[in-house]
Amino acid sequence: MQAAVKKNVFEVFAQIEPGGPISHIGNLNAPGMDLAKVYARRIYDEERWSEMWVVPRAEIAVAYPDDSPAPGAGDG
Amino acid sequence: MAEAAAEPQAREGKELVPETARRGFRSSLLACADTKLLLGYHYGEWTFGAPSLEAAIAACSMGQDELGHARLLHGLLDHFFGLTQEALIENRGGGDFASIAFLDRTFGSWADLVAANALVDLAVTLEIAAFRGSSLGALRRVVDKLIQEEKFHDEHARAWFQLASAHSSESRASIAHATRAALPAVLAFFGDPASNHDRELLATGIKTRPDAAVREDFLARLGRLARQAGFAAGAMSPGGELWGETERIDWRAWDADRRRTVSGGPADELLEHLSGAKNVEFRRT
Repeated sequence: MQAAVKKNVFEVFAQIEPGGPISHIGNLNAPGMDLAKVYARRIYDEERWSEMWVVPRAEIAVAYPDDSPAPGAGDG
Repeated sequence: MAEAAAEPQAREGKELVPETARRGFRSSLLACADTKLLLGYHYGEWTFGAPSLEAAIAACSMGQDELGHARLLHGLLDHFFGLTQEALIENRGGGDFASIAFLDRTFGSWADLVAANALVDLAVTLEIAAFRGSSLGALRRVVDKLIQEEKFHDEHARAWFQLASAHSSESRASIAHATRAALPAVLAFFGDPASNHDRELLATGIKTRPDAAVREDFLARLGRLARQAGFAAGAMSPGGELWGETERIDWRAWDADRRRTVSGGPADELLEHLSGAKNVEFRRT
């Protein structure tokens, strides 16, 4: 059940000024990308955003912490 | 989102609607206003029972838009025809409403809401767009606002159609079934394409696009949507118009004042909610 919920989570990012900082403004549940975009526009309408993006949480890759082993470390 | 209704009559004197166009104009405005009022009710009702909290917010938001639009159109009905809100909501029975008949009853499922969103909502938006550039200033000034606020509703409907087709054969079948159920009442709203029933509206410049062309546009849009969603190809006409040629509507039963072929109207329990009959003691204090 938990995995199914996570699969449908989208993170929402936006910026107020074109070229300005991109902020993470929240997340939402949606069964697909099209509805995620529709929902995001209505739920996060507190500002006049210049741009807004939705990203499936499952597609976000972890860059840090870096858990890959260093050469020569451990048993390898 | 929809704002509180503007009062067009406050900014200008009354505009006269030519006698020859009064009946057609009144029925068109009334059908749009009544349908939006009922749509607002149904969207609002499905704030609870929606598939997710996000879907509930979207339904609630669309309901708010529709009620705001209905209020805006009530302002126009008052401006052009002296129809007060009391006369429009409180003093009418179901048989007086000009709303699209698919909205007469409580929706049985989310699929009904999606069909209403994709068909009924779109039909009314296209009909209102047919008044773009109208010779009547009070009308002309609100048309673009109404259409712009409907963009979200259109995106919502298209997204749900696509989702239903991709999700499961059951969800696709339920949306296709609801779509088929809604279509005759929506086509009745446009009237008989061979009748030229809106010729006086066009001749006076009140309306800029005939209902027959609006109907064609509607069917083309719906046809594209249904094809993309993989709906019942067997029900498509050879020309690709969704069910356009397979529907048989008895135009002899068409009520020109209500733009419907189905008698009756919204159920009493719906009208009771719309009129606020339970809270009459708080009205106009």
